[in-house]
Amino acid sequence: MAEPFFQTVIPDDQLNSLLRQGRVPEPPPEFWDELPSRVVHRLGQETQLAAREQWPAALRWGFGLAAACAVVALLFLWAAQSSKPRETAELAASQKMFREIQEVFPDRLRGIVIEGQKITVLLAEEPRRAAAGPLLVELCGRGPCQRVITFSGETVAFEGDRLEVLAGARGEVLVVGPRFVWSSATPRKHPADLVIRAQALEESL
Amino acid sequence: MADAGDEAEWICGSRAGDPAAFEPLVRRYQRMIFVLAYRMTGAPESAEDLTQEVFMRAFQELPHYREEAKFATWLHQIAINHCLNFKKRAARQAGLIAGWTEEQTRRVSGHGTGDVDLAASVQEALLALDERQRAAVILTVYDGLSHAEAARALRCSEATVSWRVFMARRKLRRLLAPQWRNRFSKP
Repeated sequence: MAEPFFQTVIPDDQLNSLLRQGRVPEPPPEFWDELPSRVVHRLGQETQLAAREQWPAALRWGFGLAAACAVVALLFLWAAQSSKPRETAELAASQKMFREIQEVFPDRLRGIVIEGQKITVLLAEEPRRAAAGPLLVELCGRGPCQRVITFSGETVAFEGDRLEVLAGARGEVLVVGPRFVWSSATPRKHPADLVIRAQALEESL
Repeated sequence: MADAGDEAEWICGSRAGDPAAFEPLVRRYQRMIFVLAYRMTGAPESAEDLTQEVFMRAFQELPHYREEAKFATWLHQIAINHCLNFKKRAARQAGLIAGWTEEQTRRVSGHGTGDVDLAASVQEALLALDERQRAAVILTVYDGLSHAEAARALRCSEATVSWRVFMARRKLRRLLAPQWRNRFSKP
């Protein structure tokens, strides 16, 4: 089928010219002056709004974080407050028990080992007067913790190892294992997989 | 007359979030965007609203502007896509196109009735096109973008732009044949 007349005779440049002669109506004269300031005004409003929205968000995060910190701090305080009396009471009970057993076996008591509810009393075959006061040693490893009240020079078994407890010249307590020497003078230097606390029993309460 | 250096400064200031730095950019390009919006919608009021919205959008999008493209081309891209997405347009057009000729008569000043008729015919022909074909014609014929630049603005291939322009020209030739005969074929 032959193309219609106008398809073949309107060249591109004449069509373009015709299209460009289609004028665009002018907006009201004030439009060109007002548009830039209107845009800037609206942008300013949106920026302020965004800033206002950001502040409450930041405040919400801040308050949330502060509240979380406060809760954590309160939990720590509560744990510290609630564990301290319990620990003190347990120590007092241990000390009382040690004194009572010592009265029954004068100069023969070498120590007591408390592991949970289990108490083991260590007695010497022959009476032997201790050169210094009793020492309190707490040992925590892979298994349950163990509290020992003993004298300098005594040996205690803990998780398959034999540990020697010694009183140092400056009042510190030394715990000597097969691969380590721990001192209460540098209490943070724990051997691997073992946490030790030690001091004179009198000082523990 | 502001130069490219000024424009770069305005862009930089606007990118930093300073709306005042954006004002000269609006002043420089507002007519270009208004004309484009009008060609796309055929409704002066819609074109006015769209022009403002395009600049609002452009300010928000400025952090994504890569300077390998000219600012004007980038602005074209935002404007044409904003016009294509202007959902209310159809509803508003329904009422506005009816009064289009009267609007033209009121607004186009300094031109004879023939100009008004031609303007109305051209705009009607443009509005009769598929909107993507219309966008391709507006960018290439009116705004002088190359097919490659128009393709970037329309986010399609250059071949697609060429095809849309070709199809649009076919339809425009048919629709504007009487006006062409009046203008170019008179003895």
